[in-house]
Amino acid sequence: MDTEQIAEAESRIASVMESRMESRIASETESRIEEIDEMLSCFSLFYLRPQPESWKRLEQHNTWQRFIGSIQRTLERREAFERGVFEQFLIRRLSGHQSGGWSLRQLPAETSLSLWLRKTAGFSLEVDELLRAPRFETQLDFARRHLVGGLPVSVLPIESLHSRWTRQESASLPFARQSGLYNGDAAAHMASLLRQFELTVTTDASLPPDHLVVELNVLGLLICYGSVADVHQFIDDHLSWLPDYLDALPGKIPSARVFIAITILLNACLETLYWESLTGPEEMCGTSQN
Amino acid sequence: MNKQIVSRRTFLTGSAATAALMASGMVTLSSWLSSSAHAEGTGYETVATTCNACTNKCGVIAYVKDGRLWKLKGNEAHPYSKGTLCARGHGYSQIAYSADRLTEPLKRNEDGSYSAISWEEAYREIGEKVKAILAKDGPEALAIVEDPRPNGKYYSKRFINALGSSNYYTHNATCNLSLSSGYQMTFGSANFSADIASSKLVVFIGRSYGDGLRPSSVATLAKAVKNGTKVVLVDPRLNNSGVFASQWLPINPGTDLALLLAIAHVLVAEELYDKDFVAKQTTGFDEWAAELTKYTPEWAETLTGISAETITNLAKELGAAGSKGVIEQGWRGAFGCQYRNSFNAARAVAAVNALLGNWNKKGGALITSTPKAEALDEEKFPAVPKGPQKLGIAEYPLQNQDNGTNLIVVKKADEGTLKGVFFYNSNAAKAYANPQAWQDALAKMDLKVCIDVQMSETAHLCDYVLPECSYLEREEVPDFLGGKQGCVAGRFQALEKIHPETKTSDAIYAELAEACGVGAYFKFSCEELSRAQLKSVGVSYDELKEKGVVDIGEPFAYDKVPKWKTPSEKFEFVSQKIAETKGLKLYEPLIKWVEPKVSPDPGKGEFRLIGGKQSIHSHTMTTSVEALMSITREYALERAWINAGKAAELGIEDGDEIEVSNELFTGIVRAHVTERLNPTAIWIPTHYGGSSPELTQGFGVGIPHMEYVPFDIEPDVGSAMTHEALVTVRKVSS
Repeated sequence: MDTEQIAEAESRIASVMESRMESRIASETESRIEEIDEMLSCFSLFYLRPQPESWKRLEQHNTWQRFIGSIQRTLERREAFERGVFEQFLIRRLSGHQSGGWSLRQLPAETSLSLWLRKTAGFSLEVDELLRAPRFETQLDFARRHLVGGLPVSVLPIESLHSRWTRQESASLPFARQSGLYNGDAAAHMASLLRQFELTVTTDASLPPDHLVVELNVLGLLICYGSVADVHQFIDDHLSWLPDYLDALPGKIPSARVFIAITILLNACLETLYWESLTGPEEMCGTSQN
Repeated sequence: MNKQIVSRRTFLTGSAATAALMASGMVTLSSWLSSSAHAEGTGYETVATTCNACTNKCGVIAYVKDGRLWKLKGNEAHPYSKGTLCARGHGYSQIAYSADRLTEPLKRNEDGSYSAISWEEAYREIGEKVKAILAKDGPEALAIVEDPRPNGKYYSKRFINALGSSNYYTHNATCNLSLSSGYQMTFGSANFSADIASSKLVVFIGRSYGDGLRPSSVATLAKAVKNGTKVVLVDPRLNNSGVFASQWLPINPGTDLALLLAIAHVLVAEELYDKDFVAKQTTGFDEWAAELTKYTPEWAETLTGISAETITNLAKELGAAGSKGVIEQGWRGAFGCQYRNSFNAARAVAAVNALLGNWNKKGGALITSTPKAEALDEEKFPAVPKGPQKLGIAEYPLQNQDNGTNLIVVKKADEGTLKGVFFYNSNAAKAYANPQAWQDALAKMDLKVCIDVQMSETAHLCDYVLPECSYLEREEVPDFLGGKQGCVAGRFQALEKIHPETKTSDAIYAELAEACGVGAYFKFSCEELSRAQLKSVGVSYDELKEKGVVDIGEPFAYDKVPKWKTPSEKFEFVSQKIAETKGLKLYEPLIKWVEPKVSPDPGKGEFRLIGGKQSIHSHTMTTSVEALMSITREYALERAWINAGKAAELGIEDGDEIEVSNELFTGIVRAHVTERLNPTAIWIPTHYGGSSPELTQGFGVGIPHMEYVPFDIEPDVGSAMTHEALVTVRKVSS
């Protein structure tokens, strides 16, 4: 082959390699999107009355492992997760290795999440509490006591309860500028988004449009079909109340440890998605070449 | 590609266009806010309905934008609002969106906590328990207690009657049972209405429009004063109607009866009474006149603390005013339910008006009628069975039987004969009598069910709590109103249901009835009932829905001789009904002086604890409302009033923390030191001292009135005697 033929061949190989790389990125991106989408759906199950069929799916070992693994992978992209000194210390202690070379991703997901919770969130949860999904009966009892309105131990995850009822000046009612009320602007805007996207809430629970479950699943759809900018904006518009919600949990339901831990993890995952969505799809889906 | 095991499709479905719609971009929150209509008066739907912040149910026009309540105005056509809404009317609308709202039926767990259950489970379990009680103890072992609203007046009564029980009780034993019962024994009706707009002289005994309920009452009073009507306040406290008054009599609480008897004494002794009216329209005058001889102003002075001269002058002024002088009818005020002698105080009010000859005269005491629906088709609306006599009538035979005395629920539950109770729109266990007495009684019952919008103290003591939707989310049966012009007002749905698992009371009662085996009495919708009732009085449902209020019948005509619904068909200074009633413990046919149950001994540092209203709150119901409680906080309205002289003796200054104490309860509250209070009394607003942690706004604010009041019942009548409590006071801190 002459030089020209070699260059042409190399060019064709490079082109094939590039398209294969793009395929691989696209494939990884698609895979990661699906993982985030399913992760958000799994999180959703904790915030409404469990149904036997869907909770059974979560209880399946593979499903649960995939769920907490997806949380782990999302959090891994937080800088502190891999590079913190404490994690390195723990890695050495747990693995017996003297040099840093292992990452927490090589630990079982439930272990690494328990460690992350203790280190980053100051929340103690035993490793085996994340080993499997809570039992259906336990979750049902929790939901009946706490995911219901009007009680001091109510922890209904509804955005309007954590934001000002309306910013519209024309509302002349004395409570218009208060927060902590149902059906605020948050609900009204979410309702308009559901109409805009021709979405219907299908769960039996008759959820208001600004219920966390609805918002998480709209987010999942935006990650699949919307722009990264919209993902970012949606989290800003409709999920920035979650830290306030989370702050109140230990005082209201101190013994509901798994629920609190799940909410901490959800909040952290949303923060990760929020900051990643500033930079672009590759970052969001963990397919950065770096 | 991994197949999703847990899919978002569990929660949301989209259309074929969803993906493309999402790809084309989202309307952000800020864009949406900008594009929403801001201009006043654009894009609203208006609904005529009625307020629910108090028992008046003033007419309201609700302005709704994009399905949310946006504004409220008083309905000009409604006689109680006449276009004005009070603070409660505006503030209480928050209840529709309140985080304190109950969202699902609840069942009490063994540890005292609550868990949500389905309506089906709730109905099934309640139905089983009701049937068990009926089978074992009979229908008289069941009761219902409510603070009536239009639906409650019909459905609560119908439900308990359908079960075979007559035990329907309102809140009136802690409101105006003594008053209405006393009035019934004198002129045969439960109430009258002072024609203030045309009066020359109006005497208020304990009632304050300025602290009370109806915007139209304040407007009427203000206009009358402007036109020259003289207003006299007889009240231990110079209340907020004082701005209209030219004279304040700071009477010793519990002695209004003595003042009225002395006024009557002067009117008779000086022949200032209407002889013609007395001769033609009354019975028993001579006997009463003889009794009155001992009730001199000097005698009354020793009891009331009001000088004999003042009493005499007031009596003479009333005499001079003649039929244009009137003792205002009161409501709760000073003799609705407060003292052991309240029943006779009410009779004395009516009797003084009779001496003035002002019944149905311009400027006097008017007996107006209230329109009501005619009998309905019995096939569609079958008559409920007539049950045994209501519990409490035998023991308290002089009571207004329409209301009953709800305190009998406590007594009978304690005795073990009452086994099940339903509460609707009622915080009985906090506000109707000593809460500990209620708590102990309810603990002995097999079934307690509470229907409410929020987790009140009463709900906390119940086995099942059933969530009603707020008043803005429901339609109710028509509300017929009496007055100078009878009318009917409608409550119509302004908002779509906010919490899908809440229900209207008519639906709850119909479904409960079905579960209890008496569903046959509820085979109609609320709208069907409303249409039928309105048709029976010639009013169109659609017209009522559009206007909110429709007049019925002819306006009141002055000077027509009242229809006295007494046994003698005359005004009775001596009650025939009382004379015929056996076994009475206290009251006699003649209107006589009766001592209050307790009297404070200043030597022991005792005060009488009295309570009253504030215009921004209704009972305990509104202390969950942030907008109203913010007014409480800003003006420290929860403070206990203490007379300035007494405060000085105790070293108490304005704003100091004081301990108010008796053998039943001790509470700490800040003091309001004032000249505006009789020195024998401590006055507290009765709304505060909330102990339900769910009602976060009011929790722990102020002190609870009824905790200090021993459980006791006015003999023969059945009121709660809410002011028969003594307390001591000491300073805690500055």
